[in-house]
Amino acid sequence: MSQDQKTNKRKLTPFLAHEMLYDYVTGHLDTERRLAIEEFIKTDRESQNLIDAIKRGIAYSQSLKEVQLSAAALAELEQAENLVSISKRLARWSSWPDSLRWSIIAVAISACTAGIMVLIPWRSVPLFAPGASRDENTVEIARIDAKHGNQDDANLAGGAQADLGDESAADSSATGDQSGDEEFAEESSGQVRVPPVGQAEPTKAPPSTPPPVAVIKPPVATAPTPAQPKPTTPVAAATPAAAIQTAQTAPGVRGRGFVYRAFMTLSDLETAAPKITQQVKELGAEKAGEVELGWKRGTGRYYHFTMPEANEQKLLEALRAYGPVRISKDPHPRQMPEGEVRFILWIESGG
Amino acid sequence: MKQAEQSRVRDIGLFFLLGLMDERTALTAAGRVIAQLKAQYGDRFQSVPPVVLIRSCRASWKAFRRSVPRNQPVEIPQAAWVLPSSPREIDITAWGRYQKDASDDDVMALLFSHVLGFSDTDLAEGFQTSVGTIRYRLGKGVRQLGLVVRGGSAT
Repeated sequence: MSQDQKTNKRKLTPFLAHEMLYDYVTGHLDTERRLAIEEFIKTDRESQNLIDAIKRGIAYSQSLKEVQLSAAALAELEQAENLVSISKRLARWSSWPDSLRWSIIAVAISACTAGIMVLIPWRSVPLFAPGASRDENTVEIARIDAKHGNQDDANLAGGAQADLGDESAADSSATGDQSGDEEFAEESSGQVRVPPVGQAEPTKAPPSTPPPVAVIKPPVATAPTPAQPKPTTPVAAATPAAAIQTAQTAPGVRGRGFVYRAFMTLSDLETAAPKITQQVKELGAEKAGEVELGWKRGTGRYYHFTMPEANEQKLLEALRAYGPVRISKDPHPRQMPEGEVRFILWIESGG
Repeated sequence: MKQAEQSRVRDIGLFFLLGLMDERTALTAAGRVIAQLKAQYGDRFQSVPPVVLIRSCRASWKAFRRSVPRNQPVEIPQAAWVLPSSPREIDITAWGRYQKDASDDDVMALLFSHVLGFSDTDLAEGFQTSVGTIRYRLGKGVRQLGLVVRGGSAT
């Protein structure tokens, strides 16, 4: 600013006045400067032109506010996203589709449930321990490894035929066990009925009042149950006495009862079967199951009976008259009354 | 909420369209700023602080300004914007002539202040300079613009 000698007032230079014109137009000057600018403008034509230009510029820029983006451009910009924004948006759980969220929750719950089922040591929980029994009348007799048992039985039969029980089971599983034979059914289903402790087994259990059921558990792979030696020795055409000796020398692990399992293969079975049935009956045999003696099943005949122990030799001699007999003595959960023995005879038709 | 977000998007788009005067480059630059702010603020995009918005736009401007040569003929984007026809038609070519000769900071300051309505204080903080400098740039900018609009030279 320069000093006016007459009025002793400061006078604006054109440079300062021009620089303050914008503030003057927008009303940002204090009163003293505003008055000074107004005084200066009156005499300065260029300042007047500049003020006009500033006002036009402001008005023009204000009019630019009215410019609108096209819908296409606006839509394009609203969709603008980069990798970071996309990843952040996708990372927001709330923005995921409901179906996806529920699916993930379902999978997580399933995984947790499966994990709990795997991790909980069920065997150490008494309620779920293998062999746990809440019924006083239920007794676990033995655990039989079905796979090993089958192999042993196959060995017993010399590899030619499987054990009768196994065969029965196999057939039963296929046929649904409609024989009605108790022993046959038990072996088929893997369940063995046993009489209450201290009570001899009746020859025939009344169908309406079945004795308590003992469940033979399926093999447990993790359980280190030692394979119990099977006191059966394959004997071709052996005598029951020899089989008895074998059974007595072996540790009796499956109860005190036993059963003789005999196996024959006859070419003229249709002719011989009625005779054998007759002879067996004459030796005092009584059917032990529900089916009659000589029950025809498939290509064979099934005999399940009890008879006086004294007639064992006679029975074997009678059978040998038809052909070779393979016999074994197996432990059995049922204990027979004194002087009686149980036989299961299977005669297969064949050359 | 949606309207506020749309208004923010419109401001950013308009800033680049008027500043760069190249439709494709402007939309790309604006899209980058919007995406960056969305990534940073998510659902609060519409409430991005003015200073942050100014800085983001300024940085993106500088990056894309190089791809729009100053000496090329001014092309007026047609598809990306809708010019008002009332109460009076805008001569957008005047703006093109102005921004071709003006400095980047002057153009940006003018757009932020008089078109988008940001305060001088926000501008000063966003440009990392003083309010006086901002007002100086604004004064120079509107003066040049007014001269161009009248039909004269920007300088």
